[in-house]
Amino acid sequence: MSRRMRTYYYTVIGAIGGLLAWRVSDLLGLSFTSSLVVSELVVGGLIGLCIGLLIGATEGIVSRSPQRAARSAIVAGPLGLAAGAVGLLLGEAAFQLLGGEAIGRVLGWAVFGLLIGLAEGATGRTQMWKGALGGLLGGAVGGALIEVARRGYADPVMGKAAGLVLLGASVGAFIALITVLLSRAWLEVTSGKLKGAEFMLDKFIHAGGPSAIIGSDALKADIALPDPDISPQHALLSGAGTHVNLKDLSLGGTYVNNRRVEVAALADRQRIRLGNTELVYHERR
Amino acid sequence: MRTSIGWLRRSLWIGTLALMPWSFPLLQDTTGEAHVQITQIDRSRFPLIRVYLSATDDAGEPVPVAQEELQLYENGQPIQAESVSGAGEIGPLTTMLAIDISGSMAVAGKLQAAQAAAKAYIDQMQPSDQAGLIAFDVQTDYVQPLTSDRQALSEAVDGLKTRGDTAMFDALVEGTRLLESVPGRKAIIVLTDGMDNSSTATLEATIAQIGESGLSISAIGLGDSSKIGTFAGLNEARLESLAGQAGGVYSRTADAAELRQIYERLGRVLHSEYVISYTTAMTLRDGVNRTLDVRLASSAASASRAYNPGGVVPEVAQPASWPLFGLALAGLAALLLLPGLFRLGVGAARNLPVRTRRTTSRGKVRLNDEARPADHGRIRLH
Repeated sequence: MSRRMRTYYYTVIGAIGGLLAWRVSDLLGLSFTSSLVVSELVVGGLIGLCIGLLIGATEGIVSRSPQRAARSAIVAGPLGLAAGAVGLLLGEAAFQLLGGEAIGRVLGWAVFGLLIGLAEGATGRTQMWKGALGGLLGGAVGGALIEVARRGYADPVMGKAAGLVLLGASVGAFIALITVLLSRAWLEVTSGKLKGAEFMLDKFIHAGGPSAIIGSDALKADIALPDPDISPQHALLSGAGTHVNLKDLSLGGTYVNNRRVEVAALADRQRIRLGNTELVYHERR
Repeated sequence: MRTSIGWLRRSLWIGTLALMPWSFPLLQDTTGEAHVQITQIDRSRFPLIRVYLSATDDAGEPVPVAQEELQLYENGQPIQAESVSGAGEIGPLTTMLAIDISGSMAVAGKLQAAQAAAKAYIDQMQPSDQAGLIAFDVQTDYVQPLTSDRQALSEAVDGLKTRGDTAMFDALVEGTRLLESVPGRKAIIVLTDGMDNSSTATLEATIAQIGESGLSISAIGLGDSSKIGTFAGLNEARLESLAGQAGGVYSRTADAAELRQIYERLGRVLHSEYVISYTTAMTLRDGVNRTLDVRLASSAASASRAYNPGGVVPEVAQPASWPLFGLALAGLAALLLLPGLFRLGVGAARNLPVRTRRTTSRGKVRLNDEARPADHGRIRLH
């Protein structure tokens, strides 16, 4: 999955989240409560659940790992629900503070996007601040698009539908874009089923931070590669501050630039081979 | 007996006449044309809207207005009011008195004048009214929480002492927050003698802080307006803008006696307001601003203010339709599958040269076939 395609999938899946949010937010009936606070909590929660769940599952979908997608969705869904409920309430407050209209809509949805992005950062491979920044920008652009759609369509139903779809797309697109643009280290798969896929390593490059396991088991490995010659947990990537270390955990062996290694400090553009799959390590300093 | 009945009739007649201006209020007043102002828009029970109005003369004194004279328009459309309450009927009034206690208030007995004026305001409170006291310099002290106890309020006012710089907008933001959950007509009356030089909040933030139930802010400038830009000067344009945007009035004085009159007049105006309640025909929270215009039927007096019903998610009249949802979902699913299909297409296109080769080899076969007749020929030759 090239970086461009990754952003594309996040955008389309975010849009599907927005579409579901539009349908689900109407299931309760219109004006189901006279309390604006209750309304924003419930509707925001539902929108957050739909968009958060789908954006959370995208990483698994793009790396063709249904188990990972399902596991991320289970965590990202409730987080999206909570973030959406709080986010829309705060968004409504910002909207009203600014006297509504376009600028209020932009800032209101930016607050919503920020919390959704934060939830995505907590569950996905994105760092939380990048998720939050992407969500903030995506929400702001999405808010502007909602206003454009509301004004552009004579039919308010179409306006709302288009608005929420565009919001979901925008939040998804910006979370992916920020992650990709600000990424400092990533692995590119250059052979096998996932050829072209990229795995962001930013969460794992800090010394003392979490480590990433590369393997064939979708649930036990952080970077899951569907290759029968790769062990369920084949190698370990851990940050050492200035560089990333690769440690072999397998019987089959791990190769860096065609030399079998036990432990290796990775450098930019080095080729790593596990089983029949080849990866290239990219680093941007 | 007949005499006593006649006396009773006469008393009733005189009493009715005495009450006439209030029972059948008239627009005409002796001091000039009436001015109307929308002081507070309460939309906390949307779609029920309560619009508070004041009608005053040129001197700022309340003038009686016949209820049928009040015409309200929402986005230019006339509104059929559910109820109109007249002077003295709008329910309990809640006032937050915000008093500047910055160092400069110690000069020329300004604080004493402010204390006397605030106490005069407290004295004219109705039994059901509430008031609270905020004192501010660089920090805001909530000196007296909201109470109907006039004695406690007066004692709190007496206890004020001067200190530090001025941070008025911070105090107003705090005052607005403290009044947020209070129902009914709410007002802040702020008195200051200097430029706001220490607030972290701004005028815009103060206006933005006014919540769904609304409130008005009236400002009183105490001092000499000719000294703008100095510590003792007043930024009148700012105070006027604040009061104008927050449904209040701005008054200025350098005189202790007049200060007292201003407070008393503000009290009279607040107690003489009208409230129009109506249910808006636009019941959806679409997040679009609506303009309220109030006009007096027999005069040119009018006032205008906007409110927003809320709705960062724009509410629409019809529920989402399933066919539209299905169609859009199919479209997005197609977009999701598109790269995969495209890759298959590219793969197929890459395979094309292989087919060409096969075609070429078929050509070779054909060539071989063509060669066969020669072989046959040879066979024939054999």
